Amino acid sequence: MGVKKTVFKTFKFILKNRLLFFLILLILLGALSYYYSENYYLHEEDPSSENFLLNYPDGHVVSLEGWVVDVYPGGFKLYIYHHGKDTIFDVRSNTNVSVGDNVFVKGNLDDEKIITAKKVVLKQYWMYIFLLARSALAILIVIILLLRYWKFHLENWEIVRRK
Amino acid sequence: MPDWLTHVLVAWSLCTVLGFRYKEFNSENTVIAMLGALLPDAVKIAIPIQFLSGHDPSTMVATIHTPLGSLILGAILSLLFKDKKTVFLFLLLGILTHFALDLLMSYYSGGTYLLYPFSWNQWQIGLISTVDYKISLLTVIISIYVYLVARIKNSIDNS
Repeated sequence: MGVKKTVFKTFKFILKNRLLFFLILLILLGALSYYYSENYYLHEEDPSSENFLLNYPDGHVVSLEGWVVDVYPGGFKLYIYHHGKDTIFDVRSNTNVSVGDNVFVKGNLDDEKIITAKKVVLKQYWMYIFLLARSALAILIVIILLLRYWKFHLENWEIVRRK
Repeated sequence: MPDWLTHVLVAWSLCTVLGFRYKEFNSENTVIAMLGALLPDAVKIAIPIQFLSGHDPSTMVATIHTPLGSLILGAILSLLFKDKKTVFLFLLLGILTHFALDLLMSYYSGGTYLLYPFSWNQWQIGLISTVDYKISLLTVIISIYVYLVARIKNSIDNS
């Protein structure tokens, strides 16, 4: 009973102490992030950009996202930027793409920088800009509504309702 | 993932409909749910960081785009509010709508890590393409309908 009471009291104290609770949550989030960054590549369905930019697993199915920088009959050149490293891949595909399009490619890495595409998901340049515009509008709406219904109380360092 | 407008409007529509019956779903709390609907995509902070520093932190922040990561971030954010408990619950509602929508997507590879860190399985139902803007259009139409119904209901209640 005594242990239970102490645990309950400690838990209540942590919950009431904003800074302590904040630090505990931050450490927890940091630990989760570290665990993810150290292990995610072991669980990926296909080698992603980082993985194969380092290893170039020839013959393997890879998936990556990049920007079309050149188009030629039977394929296109795809620009990838990942972790400070930029590379251009030749993608063999009959998909109709244009320079500037954002493309997801899943396919066989036949040679160091040649991919035979099995699946291409195309995000045309205008689609990408339209997506950004819609998302910017969403942020604007949320900010305006937040400022309308909530305010920051400087003395207590907390956000309170305006009503 | 659907665009942020879709996420925000789905959270707003859901809260507005629930607000017909439950008074807790008022305008203030609805805004918090809308904020919660964007919270998992705080992972996009990696883009400006990469642009400014040249270093890609995407794998370090990717955990934010998991239910548990978002939940912790929501808890951290709710500490800024006086009404911590209510704010946390509405942030949680927004986070849930976010992952429900993300689950519908068809990803070119993988999916959403719903059970991370307990499982590395990635989930997707594959109904909507990640680049399909028609889902946004449908959400806008539904939101306008909900808005009109809410206005009619308010005018009936006030008369």
